[in-house]
Amino acid sequence: MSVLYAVLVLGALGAVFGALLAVAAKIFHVEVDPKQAAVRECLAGANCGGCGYPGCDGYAAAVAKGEAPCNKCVASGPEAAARIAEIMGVAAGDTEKMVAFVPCSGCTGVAEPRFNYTGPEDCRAAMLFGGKSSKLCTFACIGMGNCVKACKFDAMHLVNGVAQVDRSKCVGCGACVDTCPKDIVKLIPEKQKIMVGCRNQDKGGQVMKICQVGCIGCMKCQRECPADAIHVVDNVASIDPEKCIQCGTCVQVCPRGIIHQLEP
Amino acid sequence: MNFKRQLKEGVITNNPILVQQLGMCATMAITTSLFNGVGMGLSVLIILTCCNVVVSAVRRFIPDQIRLAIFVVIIAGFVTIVDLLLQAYIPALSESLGVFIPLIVVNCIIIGRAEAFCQKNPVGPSFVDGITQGLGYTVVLIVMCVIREFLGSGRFGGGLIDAVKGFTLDGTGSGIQLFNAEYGASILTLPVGGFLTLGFIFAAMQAALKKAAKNKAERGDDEEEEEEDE
Repeated sequence: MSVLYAVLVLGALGAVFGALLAVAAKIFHVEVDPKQAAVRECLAGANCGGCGYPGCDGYAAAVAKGEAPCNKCVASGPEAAARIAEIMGVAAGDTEKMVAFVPCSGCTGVAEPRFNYTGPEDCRAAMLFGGKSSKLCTFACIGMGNCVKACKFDAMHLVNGVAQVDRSKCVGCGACVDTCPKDIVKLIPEKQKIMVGCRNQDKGGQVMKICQVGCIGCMKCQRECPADAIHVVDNVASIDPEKCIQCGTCVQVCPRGIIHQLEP
Repeated sequence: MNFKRQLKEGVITNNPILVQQLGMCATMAITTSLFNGVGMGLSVLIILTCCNVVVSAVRRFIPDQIRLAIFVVIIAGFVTIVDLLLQAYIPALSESLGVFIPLIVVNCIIIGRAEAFCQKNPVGPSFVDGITQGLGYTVVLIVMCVIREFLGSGRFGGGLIDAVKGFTLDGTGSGIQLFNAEYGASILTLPVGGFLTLGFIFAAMQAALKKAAKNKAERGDDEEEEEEDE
């Protein structure tokens, strides 16, 4: 009996307050721009923050107000940008699809370790010990997976102690770029298929000692490149995506095998 | 129970923040400008008064076992109404207080007063209790806002003075600049400043209460009885 009574009291109160809230919601109704909801529908909804706004809702609100361009969402791609542009009645503009890239190939057994690190699985924690890296190469990926944790699209994985990007899954939101404490990860155009997997700026001899694959700045690639797209700057080769014709010559000539043909 | 005594209890001897030490999370988070402080204080005052009246009115029908569930239904109802009201008429305040308005639902002051006072008292005193406790809360918020704003950025009445002057409720404006903001201890505008300020106010309040109690004891029992007669 007392159970029934309790249910009745709570139910009655709930009904009264439900009615009150319904009335209040009508009286204090705030108009929301219908465009905002329509734009929000087109977005990926991962709240990755790649657009620079606080989540998909924040970006949708900014677009609806006309404050943000339609093509900021890299995650949902150019089709979504076109649909948003249609809703807003403006031209979409092109979004170049970007993907993340980790310019380090110094995996376990290839890059010499500085010490055996057994602390927390966190790049920042590992950086606290001498030399800013647990590997002898101070430029190397520490491989504790902060970027893997930051990735909302399951596109980052640790392979033999170095982060690698799954280009089929990467949407180019840049979460990994922001989280990497050593600023290793960078965004490159997806059409760029050839990249130098090293960023060590030490002199060649030094690199030879600490890593089996590091770029030694031998200039072979620079000499062989037919398009003048690859240059050795600060003792490390780097490719200019604007000029690169994806011919793969540099991949062939590199004596250290450090220039990679990326898949897909 | 009369109004004067309840007012004294709410603001001083049984102040919800300084003596009961309830609802401190929002207190430290939102006391960054007088506009926010007064807005939050008045919101709590309104919600507390409404909840107190309703809880007190239905107190005879509430089965003891589910009283908390019922309190939460009542509080959540009023909080949502106030939330909607702010969104509709003072969007700037709604934006700057953000999640702390919905969080009033779980503010211990309101559920504490329902539990400790309204359950046992009729509607009239409960109504007065809502207003006096709400005032006590608001006063502490105002004191904290003034201290943190003055020492932190050399200002007084951020947002509020401009709102009164221009009859707009957009919460912008920096109030009256009393000294160059560069010389302010900007740590006080950060969350840690909230902890520090509240700590010092606690200490001052406890010292004052102790002193008052000591004085009272020295004056003898006669006066105490007189006070009770009032």
